[in-house]
Amino acid sequence: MKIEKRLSEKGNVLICALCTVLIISLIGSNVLLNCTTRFNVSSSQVRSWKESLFAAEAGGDIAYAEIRKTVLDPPHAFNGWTNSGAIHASPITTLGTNQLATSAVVDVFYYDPATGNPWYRSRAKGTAPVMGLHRTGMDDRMGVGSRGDSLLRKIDFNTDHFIATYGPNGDGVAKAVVPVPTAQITRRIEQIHAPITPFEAAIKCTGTFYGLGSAAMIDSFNSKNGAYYFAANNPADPHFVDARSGSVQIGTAVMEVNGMLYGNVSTNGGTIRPSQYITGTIDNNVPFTVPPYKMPIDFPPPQASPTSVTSTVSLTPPVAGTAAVPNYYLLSSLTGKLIINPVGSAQTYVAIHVTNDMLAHIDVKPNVHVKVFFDGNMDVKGRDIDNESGLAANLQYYAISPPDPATPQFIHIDPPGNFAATFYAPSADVVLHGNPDLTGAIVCKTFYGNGNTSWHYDRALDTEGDAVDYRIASYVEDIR
Amino acid sequence: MKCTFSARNRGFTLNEMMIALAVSVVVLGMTLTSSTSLQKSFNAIDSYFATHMQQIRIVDYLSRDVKRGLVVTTSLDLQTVTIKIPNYIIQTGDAEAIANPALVGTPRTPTIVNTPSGPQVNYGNTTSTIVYSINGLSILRSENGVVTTIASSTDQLVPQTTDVELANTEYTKTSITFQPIFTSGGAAAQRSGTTVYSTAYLRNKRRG
Repeated sequence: MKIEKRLSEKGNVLICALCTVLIISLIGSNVLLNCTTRFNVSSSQVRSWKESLFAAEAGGDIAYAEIRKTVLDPPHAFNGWTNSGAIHASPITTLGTNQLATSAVVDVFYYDPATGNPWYRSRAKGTAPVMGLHRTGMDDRMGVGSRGDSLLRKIDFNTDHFIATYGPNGDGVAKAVVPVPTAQITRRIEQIHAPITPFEAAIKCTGTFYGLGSAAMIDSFNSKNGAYYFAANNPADPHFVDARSGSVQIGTAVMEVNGMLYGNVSTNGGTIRPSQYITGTIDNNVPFTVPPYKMPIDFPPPQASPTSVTSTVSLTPPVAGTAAVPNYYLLSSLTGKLIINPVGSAQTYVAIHVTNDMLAHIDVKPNVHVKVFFDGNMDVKGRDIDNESGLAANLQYYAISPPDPATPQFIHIDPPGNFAATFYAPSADVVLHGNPDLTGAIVCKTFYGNGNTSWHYDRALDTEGDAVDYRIASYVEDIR
Repeated sequence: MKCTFSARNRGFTLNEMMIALAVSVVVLGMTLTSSTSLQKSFNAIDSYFATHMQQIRIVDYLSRDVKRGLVVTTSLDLQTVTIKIPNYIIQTGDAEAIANPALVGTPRTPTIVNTPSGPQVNYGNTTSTIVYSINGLSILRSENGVVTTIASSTDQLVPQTTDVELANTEYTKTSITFQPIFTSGGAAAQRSGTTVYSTAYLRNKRRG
């Protein structure tokens, strides 16, 4: 009998192989664990952390665009948002390949008492999903030998920690445990949007400019520091610092500048050279645009009467009102003489919308602040602009831009008469004849004035007037 | 009966055993050496990336605070950064909280103050002060005196920040280096290859 041993039945090789595989697997899994942790933190979490801020800032930009529409395109502001009084909530917008999400809430938190312009606050949040395995090897501690992975970046793995702890608006109201579909990071920012007022220069025109007369003069003062007197030639005068801001801004290269300018001049491609007639800086490379002006829509309902003024009307509003909520009159025509009186000794605020040409004599008594909005043209004499306080800010004219940009619009002011007023007419061709002494500022499309005018820009106008745009004035992140 | 032995069942000779033992020792030695080297390498890389993550954390902390800051000041040695930020959240002891304790922990509504340079948005009458500094092997962040260690490493993390003031804004440039704890070819590890750079702008108009 022959006995044979079958070598293939020996099991130790298999056991050795399995042990080897096991050991290598353990080493591999340990390496994988560490690598995944590092990858999660240094790649996925850092990326989500940054992307969530990008998303939040995108939400802030969306809110900013809607806020700008309140002056640039009022009928379409906050369309598609959930609007409740002065609070507007956006729908959720998704963006990017990683399904970033953003939303914003906008509210009016402050009205400027002098102009009535609203200040907006936007709160935007951005959310980015966190890819990778959850919490693999994360270390909350900080110190030598520990990593502090969650010190900075708050990751919502299962529920939204912010809503659970602070409520959806961060004010401790309506706290709730809200599950999240995937691990995510959310960041929140708050921005304050401040109104930009229009009168930053004595004359600002987007088109051609001619003026003024060779013996004309533009200087400035500040009505908050006292009444006007000529101080632009006396450095020792305490009001000298306010006297040289009679600036002119021209949006084209087509211009002829005459007279004495105590201020700066800018053009868009012009050839103005330094001379003894311009005391400030000259910059021939300043392009700018001024958008068309549209009728604001945030006025209260109009007063029942008058609805037109074709003869002499003395108007005393029923209440003093405020800059934000003035006494509002809607007139189909204004061709007579309108006298506007204060309510007792109170500062009285009046807004008038003329849906036609502006041809009337307006007499604004002291303590009255009037804004006149007109849809057509303006053709008056200087004496028809009767602003008894002498403060240009107390009589402001706004020319509503025609719906068709090709439709011409003009403002003609003829002699005789001196006046104090401001004009915001970005679509109008302005012609100023005679040699008036005027206080104020003008924004227009083209300007022509051939008289030896004495023009005094009031530096207090820098913060006066209706908002014509908005800027972001403050940024803060809610880091909770 | 004749008993036969298969040649395959014969034992090893002494020479064979010696040779096999020698080969085994060599292989085992190589395996041990490789394992040790791999372990050292893994530890070094692990430490490197752990420190790298701390670099990124410092950058992100600074970036977050600079963006919401009002003014940034850097010390002459570039290693201490002081940032003033708005007091966004009402804290215990604030005037609003004294008047209404329920407001503690809620966002503050700002006020508008007219200044010679234009309207200014203020969150409360004061600001918070954040200071970044180095203490031994740790990087500290202090907010109104409350200290948090935001990074700590035996790899000698060194952040350096400069602030550049412009007309209305300001930006900070930060570089952070560390010295890896492994050596290469017997030479000291270099800092230059470990630098992370960052630039952050103030989102607010600079004050001061």
